[in-house]
Amino acid sequence: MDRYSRNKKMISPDEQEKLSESKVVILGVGGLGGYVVEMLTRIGVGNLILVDFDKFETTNLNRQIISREDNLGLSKVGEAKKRVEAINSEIEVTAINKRISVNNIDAIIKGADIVVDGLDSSGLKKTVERSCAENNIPMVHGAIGGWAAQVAVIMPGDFILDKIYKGDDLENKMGNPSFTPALAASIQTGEVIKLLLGKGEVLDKEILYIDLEYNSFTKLKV
Amino acid sequence: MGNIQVEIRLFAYLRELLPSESRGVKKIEVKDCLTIDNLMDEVGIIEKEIMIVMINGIRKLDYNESLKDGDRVAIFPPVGGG
Repeated sequence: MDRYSRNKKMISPDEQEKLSESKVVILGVGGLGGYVVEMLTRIGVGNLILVDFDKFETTNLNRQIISREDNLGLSKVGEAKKRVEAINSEIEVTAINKRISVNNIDAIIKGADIVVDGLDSSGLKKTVERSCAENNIPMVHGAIGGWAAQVAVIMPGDFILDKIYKGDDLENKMGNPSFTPALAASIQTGEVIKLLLGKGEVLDKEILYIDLEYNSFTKLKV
Repeated sequence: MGNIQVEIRLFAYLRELLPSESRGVKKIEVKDCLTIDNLMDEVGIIEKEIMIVMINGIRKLDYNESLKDGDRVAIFPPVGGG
């Protein structure tokens, strides 16, 4: 297939087939999640479940790749689904327009090979970590704030987020520019592909903490 | 009791607590009984409980632990935006 010819030197036809049979849930399709959706669609992950409750607004335009001046006010998952279909009609894509909670998360992630965290609430991220542990699904965590980003692969039972997020939701003191979400999302997508194909090394019980203002990349064993 | 020297390395918005020319890294002389908690007070870190504190690459949760000469203290504020 011409579509994937440029994947070939790193992804074999068998591996490409494996991707097409894989199911990934993306929680939040804003800054991080929008880019992850874009990249998983283009590389050919066959089944994407997109979850968000929000609508696009003007303040999203500085970074959220799916937002445009002409889709403000429309549902993020609806617009993300349209984008997936416009890029790659071979992908089966489901849009779930819901706010995630302890009550619905198990049903949402059931049957997924991997869950990608593009949420903007540390409390909800911990809810997802618990649900992924119970449902035995790896979670690829990402978060950003200003120049800083963090990424982790959380295998069921590792509970990394419980060790770093204390108490209430973190206040975002540093803002949301365009490039840190894109960077974190790229690393998350790379970890998803490695997990699905059993290639390379994934982040293991550690957080990759990136501070772009001084170009520091640090792995933290938390 | 004498003094010891430790290296402190701050990340993201915490860098602003040190002079800008330090780029977030500073060697400081402190009393040898100084704890992690005292050090954070001295540097001006307010929300201590949310920080990820690493000493010589090992995560520390007990801030009452005393520092030793030559310790490298790195403090990371976790981020949570999406």
